[in-house]
Amino acid sequence: MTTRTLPTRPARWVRRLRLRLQVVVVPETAPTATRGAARRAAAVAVGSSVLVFVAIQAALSGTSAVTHLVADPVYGDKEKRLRRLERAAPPGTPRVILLGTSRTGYGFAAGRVQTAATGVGTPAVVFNFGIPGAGPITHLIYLRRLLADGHRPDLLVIEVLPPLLADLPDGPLEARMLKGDLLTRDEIEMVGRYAMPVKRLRQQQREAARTPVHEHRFKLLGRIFPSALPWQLRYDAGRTPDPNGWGASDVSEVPDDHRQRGVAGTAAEYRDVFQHDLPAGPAVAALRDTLELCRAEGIPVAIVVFPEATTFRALYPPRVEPKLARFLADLSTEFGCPATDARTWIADDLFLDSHHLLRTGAAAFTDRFAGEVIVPFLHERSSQGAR
Amino acid sequence: MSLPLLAEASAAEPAFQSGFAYFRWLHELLPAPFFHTQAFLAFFAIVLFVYWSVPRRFQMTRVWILVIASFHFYAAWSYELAFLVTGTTLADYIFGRIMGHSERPRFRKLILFTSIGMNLGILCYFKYRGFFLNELFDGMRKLGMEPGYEKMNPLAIFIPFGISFYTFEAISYAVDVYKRKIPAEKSLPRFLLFILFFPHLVAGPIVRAGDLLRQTRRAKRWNWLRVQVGVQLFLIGAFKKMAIADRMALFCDPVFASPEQYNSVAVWFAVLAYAVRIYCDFSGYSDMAVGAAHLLGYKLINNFNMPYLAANVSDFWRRWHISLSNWLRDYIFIPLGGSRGSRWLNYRNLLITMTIGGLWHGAAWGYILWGLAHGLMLVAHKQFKDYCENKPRLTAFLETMFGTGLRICFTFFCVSMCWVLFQPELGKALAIFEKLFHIQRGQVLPLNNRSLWYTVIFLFACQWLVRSGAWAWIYRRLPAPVLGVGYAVCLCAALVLAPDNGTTFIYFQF
Repeated sequence: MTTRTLPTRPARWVRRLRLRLQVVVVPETAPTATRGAARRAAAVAVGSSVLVFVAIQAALSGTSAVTHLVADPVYGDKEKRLRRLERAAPPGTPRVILLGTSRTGYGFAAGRVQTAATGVGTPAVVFNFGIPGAGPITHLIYLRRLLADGHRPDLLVIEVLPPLLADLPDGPLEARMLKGDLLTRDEIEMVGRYAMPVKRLRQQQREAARTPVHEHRFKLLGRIFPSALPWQLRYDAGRTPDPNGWGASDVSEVPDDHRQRGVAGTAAEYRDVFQHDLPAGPAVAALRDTLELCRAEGIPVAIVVFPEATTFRALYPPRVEPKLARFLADLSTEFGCPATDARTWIADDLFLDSHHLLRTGAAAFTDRFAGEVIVPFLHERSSQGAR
Repeated sequence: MSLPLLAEASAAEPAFQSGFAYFRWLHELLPAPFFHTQAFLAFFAIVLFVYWSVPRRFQMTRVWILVIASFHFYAAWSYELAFLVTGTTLADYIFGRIMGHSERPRFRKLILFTSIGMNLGILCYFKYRGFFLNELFDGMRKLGMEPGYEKMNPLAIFIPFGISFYTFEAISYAVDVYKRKIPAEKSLPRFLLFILFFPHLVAGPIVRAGDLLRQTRRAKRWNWLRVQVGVQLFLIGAFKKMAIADRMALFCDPVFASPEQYNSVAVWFAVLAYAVRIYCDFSGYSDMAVGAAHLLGYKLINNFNMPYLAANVSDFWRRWHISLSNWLRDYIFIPLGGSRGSRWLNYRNLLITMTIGGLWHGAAWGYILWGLAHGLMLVAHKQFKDYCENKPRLTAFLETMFGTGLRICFTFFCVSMCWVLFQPELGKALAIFEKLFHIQRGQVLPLNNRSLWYTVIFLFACQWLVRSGAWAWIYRRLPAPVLGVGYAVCLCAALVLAPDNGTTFIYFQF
């Protein structure tokens, strides 16, 4: 019996394809056995690609479950900074944390207060936890996270941004900004109590768990290659501030046309919101729950409404002003926390637009607020400790 | 489950998606005919599984599976148009059978013209009706006459996706059968598959009946080498589309939408980004189509061969949209007389062919002028080539590495300039030209241009690596697991670099 010799060259389509692709799939003179090996190698290449891809997804998904740095890097980075600051301070140093929006992020020079407090003999860790787009519901989430991560403030200052307390037909204003991939499953269930779009948030969270490489891409890319993204998508608000969390504005002066654009943009963003009832609705409930949580945990709280320029204050309908004042007074009485309405504190030319402070404006506001609220608190605490 | 990974489902939404619940349900499952979506990947995985589960001896069953899958692929987007395409394909099949059977030349010619007329008629109705009616409207108004109808908004006219591609495929089949280059296909499912095969249905490559019909007769066998090639091409295509083309859109789209707002430097960058974008968008789609076909055991023509490394415009057209270039050559240029006859006749044929090529891309003056500009560049290249014949020193210089680099750069520049015309609104193209060559102030690009330069350098470095043969050398020596890691990294990179503005494929509108 004779053995039939099989052709030693690869199939015609393989050779043609190889020429087309200009890649060598099988060596020119490959014997049959080598062809079999090439097929096995191809199977290994395809199989290993699937395995590696799944492994990368699983690793990222697992990492995002362990640390906030992947899924919510803005919180994760700020928390890292706060931890670093706390470690650097002597044990027992009181901690003052400001929870707020971008207004807080731009407008409160926490390091300045920390230095001043140390100067007057009441050293403290003062940290600005202002995060763009964060409202009462996000503040409640962040407070729970901070407590879970071991950051128990001795004074918690909570910023109230009045438009975020509007009772809108489609849920709180925050719902338009908050994304499910930033939250854990439990947090999504929790925010459901405040008329947040839980279905959408759950869907976003599921997608992030399934294809984290894609869903967290801006967070990853913002870390590795930030210039490839527009600034709004970089998730770097937790990385760019100073060690005390203050993200001061880059400019010290704003040309008139830039400011006009900023004012117009802000007005467009908030004008419709002011037409609805405020303060009312689920956002107010979230703020109350945050204050309840602080009371339950024994954390002293102060409430502050940040400075606003005349053009921004002009957006408030007349009926809102007294209601807001009454609301702050009621909160202050009910929860025993000082409420500061600082809307008129700063002159219009110290704003970036009409409600974000420039560096100089932030310094002016910080000094006054620290003098009226933080330093007296620290003094009182210090004297109580001495007694 | 979020169906689109990136692509805007609404981008290709037909205006009249309604009717049967089954098709509405199908539309919800597969909202857009884009390859780089989770929905398509799920659809494709099901098709692959069912297709390869059928034993090899039931070859016709496999063909039917692909026909049904292809019909559903189109029907998910618009079932009315799926029925229309299937109907015209049936008609083409019958015309082909009649031509195949008949021996009477005049009758065969009549059938040929009927087939071509039907296909071109449908194409004109959907694609060119608005353009011609609007031109007529303007013309009548200029002459002081009342047209008696409203002017149509060119951007609102709905064009079935892929219509230009399958029209050309059907015409080439009819002509080839008429000329007896190929026999008329007897099997209806095979003919349906030739036209409807979903990897090439939407944006080509324009396949020839002689090529694909032959493949439908071969029994397909699972082959890991082929699977690897398919996966590799699909991943490269996805990377080109998601990581490069869509990213370049961030630079060029805002500028092309309102060029008057930007400064001249931004407009130059946008033109560069547009050149990169259109290449990666279309070649990315083609790579994915060829890759998907490979996974089903079919081989489609490779549509691109590093066109931006072309040393002249003729070379560019041998590397860019190869299936269309071949079609235009075989069914327009050669029937017009081709390169035979006098030099002027040859130039005329070139200009007509390229202008028709431009019109094929879209019913707007911008596309027509784009085709004409390429025709003129081809004529100029022929003139220059003739001029160089008597200049051995110039020829020798142009053949050097420096000279070749110079030619590549010049060709790229000319082609990029022509891309400015490649849009439906001629006014915007002219505004861009004004900004390019008349330095003006304005806004800067909305995004840091560092990533634009990195992308351009990366793209040209990859092409140089392939062209120099270095890639073949490296590839041969890479162990299989390393290749596997490479594929996974390529996919991850595509997913990470994909911007937020996932767009439709540019060539879908053609």
